[in-house]
Amino acid sequence: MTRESRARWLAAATALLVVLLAALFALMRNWG
Amino acid sequence: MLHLIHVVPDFSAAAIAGLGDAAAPLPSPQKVRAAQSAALDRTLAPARRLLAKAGLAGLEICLVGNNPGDEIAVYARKKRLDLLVLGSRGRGLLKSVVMGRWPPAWRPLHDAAAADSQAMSPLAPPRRPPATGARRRRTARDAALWLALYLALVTLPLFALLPGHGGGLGFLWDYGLALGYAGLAMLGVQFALTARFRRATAPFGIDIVYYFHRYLAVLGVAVVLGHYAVFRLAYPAALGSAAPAEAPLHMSAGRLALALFALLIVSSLLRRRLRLEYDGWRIAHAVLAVLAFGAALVHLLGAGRLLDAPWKQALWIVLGVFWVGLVVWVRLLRPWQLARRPWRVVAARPQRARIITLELEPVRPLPPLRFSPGQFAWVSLRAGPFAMREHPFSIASSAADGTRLAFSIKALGDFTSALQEMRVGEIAYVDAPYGTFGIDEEPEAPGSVFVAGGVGIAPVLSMLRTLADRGDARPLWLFYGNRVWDRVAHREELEALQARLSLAVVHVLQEPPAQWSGERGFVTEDLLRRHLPATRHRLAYFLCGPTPMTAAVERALGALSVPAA
Repeated sequence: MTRESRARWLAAATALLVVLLAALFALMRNWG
Repeated sequence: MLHLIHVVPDFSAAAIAGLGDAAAPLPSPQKVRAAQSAALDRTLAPARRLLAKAGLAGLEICLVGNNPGDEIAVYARKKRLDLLVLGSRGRGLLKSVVMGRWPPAWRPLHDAAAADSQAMSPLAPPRRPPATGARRRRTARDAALWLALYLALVTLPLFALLPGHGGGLGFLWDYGLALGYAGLAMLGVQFALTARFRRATAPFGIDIVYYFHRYLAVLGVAVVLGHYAVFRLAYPAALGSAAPAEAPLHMSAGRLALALFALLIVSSLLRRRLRLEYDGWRIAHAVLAVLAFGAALVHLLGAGRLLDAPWKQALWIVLGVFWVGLVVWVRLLRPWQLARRPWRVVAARPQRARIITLELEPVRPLPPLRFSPGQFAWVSLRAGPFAMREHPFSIASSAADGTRLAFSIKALGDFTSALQEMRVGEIAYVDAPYGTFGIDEEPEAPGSVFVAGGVGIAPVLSMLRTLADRGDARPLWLFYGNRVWDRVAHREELEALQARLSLAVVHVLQEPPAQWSGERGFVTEDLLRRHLPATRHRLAYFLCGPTPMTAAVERALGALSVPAA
């Protein structure tokens, strides 16, 4: 895997985490 | 003399090399080369047969470039050809008029370009050395810390809005809002990624930081589009009218921000295809980014569904000002500092292969610049430091002397070509040092291997000169790829350095002369295996050259069990 493709995967994983954390935020606001 | 000319298509639209250059993913160099040679053979085969039949010899020329017509015209002018016979390719006149010429985009690779494409923009991101044991772990730890910091910067301002909130309005509604906030924060951090923070680039290398900037920009805009999509699809009434005259200002600002972000992405990813000139694009990029971000902030503060307390508003205003402030720092304050420390060209020496070596000294006495060999500088030539016309160039001189810097620069783009006319006495501005590529990153390595292509030799020269000045006795190997022997820049100096270092120089030529007994073709796994000792996995490796070359050598090293950085 080249450095660029690693950077691509890392960026994608990071963005996925951001989207999941945003979902967690929405869940927490609507908890209970 | 007959010249058989063919312009090979550029499958390497992404053979970018410059920072700030963004493009599509790159096909493997093997595939590119195979496709290009096939294209060349296919086109020239009938002409070869024809010539053989007539008992004539033709000089086969493989050109590359953005526009085959221009490439051929330039070649014809340069060689003073008397007559051009052009073949029609595939489409007839009508089809060509309707559908355009095929192939629509062309770019260098096969010949000179393999070595030269790097210089299309000034700096091919040098590849970091494969790391060893302790450093690898340290780097991994630092990288994890920076990633955690990124996530914190993006999501903490969002989670800070939770305390004291007035209750959720449904998961989907709140998720849509959260995507907007998180997306904007992601795009804010984009300003930091290119703000030239030395510490942040350290564990990754500058190339990774810029790749990150590129991919996270696309993903950040995708998240913002997700924000819009949730409301567009699930709550269209909340969006109101799209007509600017009827819509509230903050909603129009949101739509404007979306459009500007999309424009930013398109103009960056397709910069070359749209033929946008690099310097102009850079200025437009910075201005568009600030405008888009500003419009998004207006939208956020106006819509502000989650900013239900003054301190929450203040938090996001401060964050927004901070991100935009980074641009002010890089584009105004830092140049202001540089303007007070001008440098002057004290020598301008042309080398082979359209490379020029410029040597700079401070106009007024300055403390020596402390840099590590392999690092690079942002240099403004023939422009003030505020003009946003600085270009990244590897420092080629020895780190032992920080009072006189040398740069070896290849003429190819408009800017680098103008450098050929640089005269002694001209003023330059130097923002340095940057980058984390170099021998000082691997102080304990038992020896080093350098793989350079074309003008990629510049940072390698700095490392070799520094090692020689330090009296370093460790074994060194240099694999130096070029197209032809007459274009091997700095080869005499490399010979001289061999006398001062335990250095083996392996020249690898794509088109060697008839009596050539050295290596030919490309730097391959087999070639590396033949020249390097069995303990090769313990050596430090430094690659600098056009992207297809470094990618291919990276794979070759992987096959030789050399751990990757």
